[in-house]
Amino acid sequence: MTDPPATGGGLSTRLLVDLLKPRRPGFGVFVVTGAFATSLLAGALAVSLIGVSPVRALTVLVEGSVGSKAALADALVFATPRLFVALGAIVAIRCGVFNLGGEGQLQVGAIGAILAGTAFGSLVTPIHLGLALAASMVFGGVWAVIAIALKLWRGANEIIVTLMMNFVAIYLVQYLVQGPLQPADSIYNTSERVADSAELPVLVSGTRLHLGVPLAFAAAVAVWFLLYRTPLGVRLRATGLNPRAARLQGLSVGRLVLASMAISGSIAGLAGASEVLGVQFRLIQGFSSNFGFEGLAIAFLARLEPFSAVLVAVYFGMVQKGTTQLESVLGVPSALAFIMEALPIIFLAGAQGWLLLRGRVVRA
Amino acid sequence: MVVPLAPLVELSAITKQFPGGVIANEGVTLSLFEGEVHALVGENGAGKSTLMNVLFGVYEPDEGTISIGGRPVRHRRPADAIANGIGMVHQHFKLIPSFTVAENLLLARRDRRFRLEPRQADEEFRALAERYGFNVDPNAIVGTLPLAVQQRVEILKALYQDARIIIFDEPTTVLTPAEVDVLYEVLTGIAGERRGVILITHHLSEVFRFSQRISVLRGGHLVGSGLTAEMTRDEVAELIVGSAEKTWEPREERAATHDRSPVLQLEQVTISGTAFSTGLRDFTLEAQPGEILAVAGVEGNGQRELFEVLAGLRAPEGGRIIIGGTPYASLDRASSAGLGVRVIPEDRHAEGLILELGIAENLLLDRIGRRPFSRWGRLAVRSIHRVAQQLISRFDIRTSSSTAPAHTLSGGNQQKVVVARALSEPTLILLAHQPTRGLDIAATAAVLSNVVTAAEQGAAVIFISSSLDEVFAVGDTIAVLYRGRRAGIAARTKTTRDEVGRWMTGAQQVA
Amino acid sequence: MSDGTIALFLASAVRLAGPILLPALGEVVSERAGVFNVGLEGMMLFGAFGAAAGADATNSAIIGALIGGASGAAAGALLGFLVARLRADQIVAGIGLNLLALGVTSFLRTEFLGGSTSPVSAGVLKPLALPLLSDLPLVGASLFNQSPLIYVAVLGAFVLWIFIRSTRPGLVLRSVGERAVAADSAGVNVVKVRLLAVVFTGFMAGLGGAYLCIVQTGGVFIDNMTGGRGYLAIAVAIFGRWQPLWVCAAALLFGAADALQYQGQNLGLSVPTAILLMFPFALALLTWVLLGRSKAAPADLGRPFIRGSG
Repeated sequence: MTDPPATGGGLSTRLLVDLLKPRRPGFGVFVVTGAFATSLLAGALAVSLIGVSPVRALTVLVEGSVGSKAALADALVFATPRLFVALGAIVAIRCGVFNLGGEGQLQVGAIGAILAGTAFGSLVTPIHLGLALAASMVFGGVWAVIAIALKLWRGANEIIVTLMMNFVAIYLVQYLVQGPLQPADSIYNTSERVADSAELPVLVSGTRLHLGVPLAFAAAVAVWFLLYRTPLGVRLRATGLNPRAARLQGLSVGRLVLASMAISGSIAGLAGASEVLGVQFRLIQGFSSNFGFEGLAIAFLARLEPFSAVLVAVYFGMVQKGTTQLESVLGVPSALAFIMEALPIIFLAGAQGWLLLRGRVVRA
Repeated sequence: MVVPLAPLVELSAITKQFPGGVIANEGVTLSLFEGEVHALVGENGAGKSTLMNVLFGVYEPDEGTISIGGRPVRHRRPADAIANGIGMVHQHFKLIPSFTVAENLLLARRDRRFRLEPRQADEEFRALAERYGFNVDPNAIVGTLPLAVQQRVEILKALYQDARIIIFDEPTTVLTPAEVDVLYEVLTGIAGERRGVILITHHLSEVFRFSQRISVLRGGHLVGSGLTAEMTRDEVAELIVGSAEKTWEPREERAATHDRSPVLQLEQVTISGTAFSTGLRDFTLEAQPGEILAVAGVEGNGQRELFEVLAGLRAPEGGRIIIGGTPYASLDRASSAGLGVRVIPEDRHAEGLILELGIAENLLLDRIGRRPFSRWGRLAVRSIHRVAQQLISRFDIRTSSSTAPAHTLSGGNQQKVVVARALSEPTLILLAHQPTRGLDIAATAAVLSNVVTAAEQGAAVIFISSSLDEVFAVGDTIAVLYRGRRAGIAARTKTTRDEVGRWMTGAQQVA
Repeated sequence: MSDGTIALFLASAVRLAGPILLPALGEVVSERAGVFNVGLEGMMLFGAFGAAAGADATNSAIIGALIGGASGAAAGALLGFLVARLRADQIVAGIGLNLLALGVTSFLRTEFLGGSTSPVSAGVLKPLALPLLSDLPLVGASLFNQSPLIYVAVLGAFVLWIFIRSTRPGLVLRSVGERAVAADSAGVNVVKVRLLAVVFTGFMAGLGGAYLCIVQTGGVFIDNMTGGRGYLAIAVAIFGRWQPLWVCAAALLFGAADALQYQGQNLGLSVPTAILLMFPFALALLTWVLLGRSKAAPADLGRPFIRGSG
């Protein structure tokens, strides 16, 4: 296989990786506090704009997300698909591939999970569930590999490819639930319910906390291990940071990029599985409310570190859960969540750019 | 020549420190007078370019002031410097390759009209170009022009902006000796038109032929300054390197090994070039085990492509490569590395190292998946650091820890990492492309001695360099690249610097 | 297939090309200045909301459209400040902006425009029949009886074409996208040029969003109503090889692809709606793959400008 150039379509996409590795100590702390503060400030500002006391809102938000066992469980369940997507994005971006296709990969992963989850009448739980999860990983992985193969083969930049494939996947799900996967006697646009044996079991009774939550945490550990404790991880990171140098050391950049995308897509596929096997139990049009881009946002905010991604994802889960509570108690629109998620990204992007501008090491 | 009293430009006590603590200039004071060519000399990394970039507004100084015609000014952007009559001919030209010559020049003037009027512009440029004897087609795309012509466009740009002070940053690196003479004629002419010229170079012969005043930088400090007529070459050379350091000794003459069969042969290799390099045309070469084959030539004459073909980065369009008796139409990098082709690339930041990774990971990147560095798909962290530590002490890499990122090392130590990685695996062929670029004397000596050691241990070394000093110091055989062809080849003992110099200019073609 | 069906399809194609063409032209300007603007989707959303709110407040669809453009431009100013002044990563900042747009517009919609589907009172921007041209047979009614915003878009394409090709500011714009450090050392204010370019992009995207709201949906703002059209417009800008007239043609093609979902039945297509909805994106993917790598891309596209970095 011939090695591809680092960029296609004339776009430079390597910089992100540089940016996420600031070389000044203390910057991490600054970014985390700054981003967190921005998020809360934005929330406070938004609620005061519509005449709600920020203190009251914060109380409701916190109580609504961690105030009870059930609420905390919901926050963690909300965090789960977002965390999977984020971890997938981390693997790809660390290898220098801009996988903006988490949304599509999770949609297709959900299709895989549903197919396996409904196909067999009833199997022993671990086997059926295992099959369904594996199917979601294969589907998500293949979807991602198609995107990167198009880049390697035709030089089509992966940013556009993955963005377009997101929408193709979303409408593919819509098509399936309106036709082929719709049960004959049903008037609803959903698939059949998955078999009990393929469900992600609830772990704490009285809550919605399902097995997907610890799986996502385990995935974070696995991604960390992959990146920092395996030769493949060293090669992926080397390729992402400097593909020219990596290639000169005999690394097959093309194969590594392909591998990172396959891994990335299969982790994102699990996001779909955790939603349809743990929360919805059916394939539904629009089951993902923008998980793909929130996942990317988490990856960026975590500065591509898997353990930081866990923390950020839990925060996002809390915000999502807390804002639904805010809507029902105080009538604050739950879209507040997106504002509280977006502003820290904007803060981070600005802060890192500024650092690049100020702290660039230039050879004399 | 009458030297007027008020200088055109006065830099006083300029200090510039880069993030990360690198001090590029400290308290440097310099004056340029009308009608003068003022040579700014020093080693790579002495701070010459930084100082001029401060004057041109690329960097803002941390301390110190700039005065133009006695008036203090502040250059926050190049636009400010241009407005104050400063032009710069950059080492890496600051032209837009996809634009025509005319478009590049039009861009440089703010007083042009809203609507682009190509025809009128053409005439202006032709007049300007003719005045300086430049034959440049205004409608040519800059990126397709030879480097010497691009440089003329860069000069025209400064003149078109009516710069009174023109800085030339290493203008001769990409030129043949004949082109160099033409350039200096122009340069002297420009200085004579009530302008001033600052010339950054490290060629002392040029300094003494063409400048009226010399300033020497070393380690960011001004260590000497005076009228050229009152200084000697030895004096200036000593100022440049400092008194303590000595240059390396030429390699002992090697016992003839012509009975051995060549381990590397290139047969009529042809590969296309780029805007910055000519590519290779029917290039033939062979090297034996233990031989250092030095490839000399002015940069841009196919060195880059020779490196890429040998390293397995690009497939030649014609001809073949024979390694150890086996012919290859093309090689990818992984199989070339598998055969024992080790590389020291010319740019350690862009190609040699992964600056954000640790030193150990950089040292062992090419073998990280093998035992003892990995077992069962898992890194053997302890073995990695043990071996890394051994390499660090064997190659005298100065660092506090093998886990520190490579960007924390000094340039010389970074290059030692690259060399250590190349030479710590069985080496059939060592490919060294400008391996001493940007290094100080001590680091240069260390790299060259490692290259010689590799040859003594049986590797065939292809040593690509544009420095005649280095080529004559380490080469057993010297070949010269000119416009992608082999312009000459001879054993070091059978040729002279003059002859090699002629080959480099294409003056004498060897069949 | 009757003439009437074709005319209807053509009219629909042109009508649906509008919200792709306007932002795509904006994107051309950003990318010519070296900014790969993923935030186009968010800018459109801001524009759509601004238009709905503006039309609601002023009772004028035209003022609404202008407010939509201004909202997009404001979003452009934010993104421009981030990427041009602060040198933020263009992708990260763009994705942040999209998420912000989704949050802010949905939040404000719930709060100020009431329920999810109640149309604002000002209604729609009426089609403007061009005298004489609209009387032409077959194409007349479809091409020349369109919303004024369509005429603005097409006119805009021609103006941009001339601007980029043969004016000095156009040359400056291109220089910044081709090689920012060279433009800088020729005296160009790179930061300012990029900032202005992104603000302009925001304005065009805002108009595109306004079009969606006050032309296409009859004055209703729906959460996330852009539904990926911003991303599609980015693809169109690239298919058009950063040339406004080609972008115009590409936008029309995608308008036609989009029109299939409304006119498919009339044309005798019996394809599920979801597949028709997917079609423009699949087409974009296919075109993208067929075109492959482009040599025409601005060389500095996506790179922050750092003075002194080569």
